[in-house]
Amino acid sequence: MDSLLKELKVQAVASSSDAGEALESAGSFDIETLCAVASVAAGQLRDIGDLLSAGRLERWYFVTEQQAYYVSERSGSRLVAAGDAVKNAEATSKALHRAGR
Amino acid sequence: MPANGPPSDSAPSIFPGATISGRFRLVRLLGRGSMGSVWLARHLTLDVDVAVKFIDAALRDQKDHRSRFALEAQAAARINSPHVVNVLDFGAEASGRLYIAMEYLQGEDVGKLLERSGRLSPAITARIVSHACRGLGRAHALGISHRDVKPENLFLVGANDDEGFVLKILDFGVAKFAQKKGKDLAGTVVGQLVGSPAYMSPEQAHGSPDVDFRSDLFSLAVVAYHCLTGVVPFGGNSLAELLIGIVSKEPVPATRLTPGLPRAVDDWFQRALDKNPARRFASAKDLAQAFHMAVGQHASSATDYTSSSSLARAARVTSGGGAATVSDTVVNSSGAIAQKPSAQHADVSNQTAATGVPLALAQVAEVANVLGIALVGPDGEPVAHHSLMGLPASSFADVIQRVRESLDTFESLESTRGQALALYFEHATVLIRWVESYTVIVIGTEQVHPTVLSVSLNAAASKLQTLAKQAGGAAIAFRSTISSLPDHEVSEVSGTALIVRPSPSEPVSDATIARLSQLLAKPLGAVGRLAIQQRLKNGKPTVQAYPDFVKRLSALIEDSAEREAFSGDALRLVPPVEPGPPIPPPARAAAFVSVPPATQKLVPPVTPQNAPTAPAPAPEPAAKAKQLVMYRGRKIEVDE
Repeated sequence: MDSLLKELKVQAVASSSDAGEALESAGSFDIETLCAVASVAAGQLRDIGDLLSAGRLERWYFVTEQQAYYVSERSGSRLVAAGDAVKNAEATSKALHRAGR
Repeated sequence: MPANGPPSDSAPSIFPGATISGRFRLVRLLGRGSMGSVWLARHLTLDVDVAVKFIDAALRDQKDHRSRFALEAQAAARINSPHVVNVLDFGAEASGRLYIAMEYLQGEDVGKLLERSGRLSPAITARIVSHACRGLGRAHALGISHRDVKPENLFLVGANDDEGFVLKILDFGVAKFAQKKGKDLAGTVVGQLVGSPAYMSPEQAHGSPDVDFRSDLFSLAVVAYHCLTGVVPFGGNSLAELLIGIVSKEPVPATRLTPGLPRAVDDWFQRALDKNPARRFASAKDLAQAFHMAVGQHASSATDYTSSSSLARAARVTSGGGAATVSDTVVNSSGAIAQKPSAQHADVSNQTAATGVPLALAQVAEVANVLGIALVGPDGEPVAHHSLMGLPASSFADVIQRVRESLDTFESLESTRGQALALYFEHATVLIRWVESYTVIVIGTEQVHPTVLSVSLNAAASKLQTLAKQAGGAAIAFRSTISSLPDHEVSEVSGTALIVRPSPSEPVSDATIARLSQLLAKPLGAVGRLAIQQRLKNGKPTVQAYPDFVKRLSALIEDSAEREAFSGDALRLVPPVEPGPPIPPPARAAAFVSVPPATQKLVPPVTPQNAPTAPAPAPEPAAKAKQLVMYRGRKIEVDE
């Protein structure tokens, strides 16, 4: 996790169960809340996949004015990361997903 | 292999009860494939039924047929898809005759189903297309083209089960591997027809050696057309007539033959059955996904179904050109958007606060593998959308609703506004950007290039942001962007009237030329862009000369339907010049005037200079509130 934190240049990175329980983490952030929020949001975002017949949700990111949140979905678990808001979050999202596989 | 088919003679060494290579015992003849007979057999060690296909005795010693038979076995075995018949074994029986042992399938092929049913429902057809695309997609990924996709080669297993059928693709007997080191492993002779005529692609009909996976996709689209309409799209009384139809004629729109179909289906067929392989769907997955969306959503209204050209028409690019901003907009003090005052002035009726909105969306919509884009308002309703694939506005609204629900949870982490969201699914990509309280959403296939799409969407969002700032707010800039108010509602629209008076001597804008290039590139490709570049060497045409410019360009298009479509779309980019008082250059900003709702009457354009001497009709006293006119990014108050 520490090496991933450095590689992604984010504030925090964590692995969590599908239910949102933090399993392992690095960095400084409210990890417990982050994992729980990602879990709840992912459940609803998956519905969009059903709506569009788009299959499984693989990765996603959400950027606000202050923060960027990255999630890589895995079978029964997920990797989450939180960093500063950036214009191009794509690269970090991809890197996190690669690390998650 | 299928458990039905006409009986046929078999070679003496192959008969009921014969044991093949010590592995199978033949039970009975099932039918004949393209190069041999197919038998029901019992696998002696596994104790299961299998289908064994033998190469015909007459072909046994012909090298090219032996290699093609081996290729069929290799192709099916390599693909290893639940939607391709499974190969269990490949070898030669005692007399040297090659065989392929395959799983034994029970059910019926699509051809027989069509014989019984005439036509199939969109749901069943979608399942057929979806399963076939999964099998073909796997084959194509391995560089294998089937080259004989037809209803008889699409077998439905369990067609009568409650859980629905599973489609399996049969007969890779004429399949082709992608060329390796210049050698065609299938040994096809140039000019030789391969495939079943009614389902052939134009390149197959030409006997071209350059037949690749896109040919399979064309054939599958023909099957889909047959399923939905009950007839094949290209017919004729002779083989020659049929082939001519395939290479040169457009099919009757499917919705004309089956009226209940969504209109999006016609667009899908137009792309899937394009004569030019490069303009067809880029992959089996794209084709299936687009088909699912085309038949799954019934686009019933003009605003539900927006194609590139119809949106361009709705945008009604103004005299200023395609990159029109809020300039050509009249907004009253209450922020209501100008709408058409009378049918007579329909040309400018669709000028809304931001004609740049549809154009911003269109740029993203034309990124490869994008299915559609929409601008959704704070109330969750799309105010504009653009989908070449016919994705309805309601799909975007549904997605946005779920996004909002899901992102509510982030409030426990922070309270700042969302700026971007990206969702990468197995078979789709959804990207979202927020512009003030509005949401821009793009839906694409999983093959969309994430960076290209992201950059393109950022640019569009930035453009929309600029439009919103110029208009004094997104609510003003974006409202009623899909400006398709019917005439009878016009009188109820409060606000102002709009007149756009292009200066006849003014050159058309760069954006108009850019859009014109896009339109001409549709029928002519790169040649179209080149033709425009050559004609612009002496400068851009003026507004007055523009119709003639379009006419000369349209003369380059051979196909009359394409010529008319181009001409119509191109002419709509610039409103026709109408007689009216000349507009002094410095005062063009007020080349239109707002009219109070009570009058709802178009008046001649006035300028600040001539307004006192040529007054507009007197407004109703109650409507004397200040009128705000936006022109070229500036707000101008018209003092009545």
